Amino acid sequence: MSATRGQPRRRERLIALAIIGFLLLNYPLLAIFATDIRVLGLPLLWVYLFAAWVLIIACTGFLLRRGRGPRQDGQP
Amino acid sequence: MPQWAILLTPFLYLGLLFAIAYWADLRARSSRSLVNNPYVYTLSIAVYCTAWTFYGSVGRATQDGVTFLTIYLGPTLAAVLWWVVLRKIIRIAHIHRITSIADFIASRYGKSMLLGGLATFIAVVGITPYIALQLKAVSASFDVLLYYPEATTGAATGGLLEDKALWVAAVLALFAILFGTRHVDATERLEGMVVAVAFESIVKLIAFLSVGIFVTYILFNGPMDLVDRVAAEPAMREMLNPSGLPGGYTSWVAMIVLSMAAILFLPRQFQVTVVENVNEDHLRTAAWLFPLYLLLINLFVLPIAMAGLIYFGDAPVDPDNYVLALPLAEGRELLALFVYLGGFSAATGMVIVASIALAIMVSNDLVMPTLLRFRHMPLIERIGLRRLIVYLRRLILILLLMLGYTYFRLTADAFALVSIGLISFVAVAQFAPPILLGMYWKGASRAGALIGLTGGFIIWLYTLFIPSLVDPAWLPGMTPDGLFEGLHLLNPQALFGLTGLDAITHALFWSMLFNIGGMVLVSLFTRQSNIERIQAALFVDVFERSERDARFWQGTATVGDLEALLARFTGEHEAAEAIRDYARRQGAPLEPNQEAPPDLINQSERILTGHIGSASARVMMSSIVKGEALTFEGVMEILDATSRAIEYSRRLEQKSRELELATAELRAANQRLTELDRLKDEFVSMVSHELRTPLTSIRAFGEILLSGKDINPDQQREFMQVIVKESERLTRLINQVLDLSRIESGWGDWQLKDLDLRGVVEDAVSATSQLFTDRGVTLEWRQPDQECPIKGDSDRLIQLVINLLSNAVKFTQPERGPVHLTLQPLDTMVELQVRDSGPGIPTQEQQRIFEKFHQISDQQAGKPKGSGLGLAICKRIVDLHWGTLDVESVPGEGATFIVRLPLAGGDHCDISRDTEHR
Repeated sequence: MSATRGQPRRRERLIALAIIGFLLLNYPLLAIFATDIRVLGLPLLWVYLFAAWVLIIACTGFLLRRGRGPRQDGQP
Repeated sequence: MPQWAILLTPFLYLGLLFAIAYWADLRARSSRSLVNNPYVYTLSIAVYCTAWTFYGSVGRATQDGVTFLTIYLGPTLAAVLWWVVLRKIIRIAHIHRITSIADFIASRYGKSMLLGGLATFIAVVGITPYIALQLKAVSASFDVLLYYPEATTGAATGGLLEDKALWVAAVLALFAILFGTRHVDATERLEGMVVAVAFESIVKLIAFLSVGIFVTYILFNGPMDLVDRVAAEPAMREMLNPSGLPGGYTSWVAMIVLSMAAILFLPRQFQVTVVENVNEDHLRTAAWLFPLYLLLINLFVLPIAMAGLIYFGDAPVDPDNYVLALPLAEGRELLALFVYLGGFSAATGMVIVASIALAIMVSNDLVMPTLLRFRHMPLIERIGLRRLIVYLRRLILILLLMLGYTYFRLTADAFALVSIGLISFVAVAQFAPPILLGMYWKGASRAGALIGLTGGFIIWLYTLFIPSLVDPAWLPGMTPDGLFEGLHLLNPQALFGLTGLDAITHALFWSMLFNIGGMVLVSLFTRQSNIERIQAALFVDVFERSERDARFWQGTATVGDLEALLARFTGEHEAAEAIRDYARRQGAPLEPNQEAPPDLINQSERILTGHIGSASARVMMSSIVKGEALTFEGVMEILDATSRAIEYSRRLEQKSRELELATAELRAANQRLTELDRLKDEFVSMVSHELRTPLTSIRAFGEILLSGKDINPDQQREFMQVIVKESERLTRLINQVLDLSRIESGWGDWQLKDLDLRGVVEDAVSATSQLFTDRGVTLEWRQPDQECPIKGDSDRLIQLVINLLSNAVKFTQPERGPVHLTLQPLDTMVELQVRDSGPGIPTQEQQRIFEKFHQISDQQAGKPKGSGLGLAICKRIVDLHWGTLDVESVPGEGATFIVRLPLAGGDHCDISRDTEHR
């Protein structure tokens, strides 16, 4: 039961993550970080972009991790 | 380094690739496939990183700072959705045996030849510049390696035969032919190609990381140092300027959207992610590992760009070549050679996969439909269609690479690497609306897709492609005060007067507007044909329907005809095998002149689709199937009937499982009842038997007394005593039966309390003291110092101890010694022992003494001395107190009854009233 219930939730979570990622990597949130401030000696925007990138990758990996639902599932 | 070594290296490297691909193909044939592995899959997707990434990103970063990252951030976002979107594409493609983007579009919109052809045409025109770009990169980087520092502008110089790009193109064509056209069935995996590409992905990543580390940490002192030095130079500060996202945020969004479309719909990406996918589950890994790969390969782009700017300053070095020029300038020739191989990997991987994907598209969706119109040409029949397809694909591969080379010669110096790539991206973005809308909207129609694609493509041609090829001045409206003054609305860089966007964003906006707009509007106002509606339903609901449901053919064809048709394309052996396979699954052999079942017709069409594309396959099937194809309603009826049947059988199964469960429960309950009934009968008969014995003797003596003669008063008195004793026994028996039945009924009227077992034992001892005195047996009773708190009913517990004590005293001869009674609290329980010195209990009897009315027959006393209920009652009382009653005995030395009761406060005390039968 938990498997069939888990599948659509994963789909929804992935879509939410894509939307969050799109917002993080676009105007206007991007404009907040487009300043002359340096972090660790690097421009803030560079650091922010790579950090957001790593975050999105980690979240994707987390949402798609195995053991949530059957392997050979047929439902989206 | 000697020139011949530099010349030879790339060809040696290609030789290595050949070896790897050959080895992978060998492994695949001995079914130890390397491709069934999420990491190989992910690495093959990294074919996305071409020479454009390898060389072009640095070039772009020197001008626009971080903007180059959009090309990799888009795919990262797209990868998040892979599990949702790409998995659906893969499922559809595998079920329908789709092998290219063009075929996907054609198949979705009613297996339309026209759409397939159009999509192929767009792909070829759109991708050719991209192939040219790779050739340019190979050639330019080669020149840098050979002639640094003289010629570093990357121009194609010299005659045709001296041009390395031509030779590279030729070798790549050979590679693609060898590993890309091995099978006619395009759904068969090109394992050699995939593994070779995965290998190239590793090489390019390591190469780029090594040069990145070299430049950043050996040549300079880390990224902070670079940033500081760039910030100090006013001429270079531009790069760090954060508000300098050139083109502004609009361009940024456009790039992200564009690259999201590209990662899904570039023909080479479709080839490796969809066609070569072995297991949908690999997407789980690829969706995070591929973005990670992108991140790693881009990590050092900005440092290298900064380093190049600082290092070369005003020297005429193309920023695209910084990656190579930096190690060369430092005299690190081996590193430079390795970096060159990395770039070479990036370029060749792309060219190989893209050209194979395009060749399959061209042969299945452009050439084959044309050929089939002339299918009675004797020449074609003589060569054999099967071989013809293979030769065609090879020829197409060569032509495609020649086309790319020609474009390269024509435009070699015109563009930086990135802009050519972006032109291709906009072209393949045209596939996004028909595919995505088609996958989620059943209403998308063929006419809509046709109009949308055509509109988008024309806009792309006009605003991006043609301006890249020819002098803009030839075009109308280019010169505002020129010949076509009135037509300045048609300026390809500012269509309809739209200004303020860069060329790519401008073209993307207009083409998407026409594409999506045309598609949606026309779809809303056209009727779909039957086959369109069927395919739409099958595509959109691919996860809801089973693969074998779809049958389109109502008409008839013989098995022999089908086999002959299949044999023309797949070869006789495979055709016969397919038919046999089907027959085996159906469990009945098929005769050649027998009518083919609709399933088989459908399956044959799918097999053909893998070889010649869906549109051609349909045409071929309709040539032998007599009668009409089913209508949409017909197909849907079959589909619904099947899914209804599946649903019914699923529910039936569930019902029967429930029934089975209920039956088992009933059976168990019945067994229990029968057992109880049997026990009751036994009990009743035993009780009756026990009651009869005293009754008989009472009656016998009563009768003797009644007859009244010759009985002396002594005897009379004796008889009366017997009668009284037997009556007492009878009373006792009846009392015990009543006790037992009360206890059997569970807790009933019990008073459950916390109490100290010592008091209980004390009461029982005093109650039985008379009995002990009568029989002259002593009781040794040791009272513990600690409390023995337990939860229970004190009357029952007193009864328990009394029963045990009277039992012990009954079997103990006075001369044999005392009865021992000990009580001691243990960890979680209280132990009560009653030891007698009687005859003991034989081992085989030890379990049975707790049964009702069981009396040990073989006793020294000869005659049973009790009702046989005492121990049964004890057992029952102990059970109800969650305890255990055991006996230990050595025959001849006495017996010990051990009662263990849990201490108060344990888990059992949660059950306040245990009404259940135990």
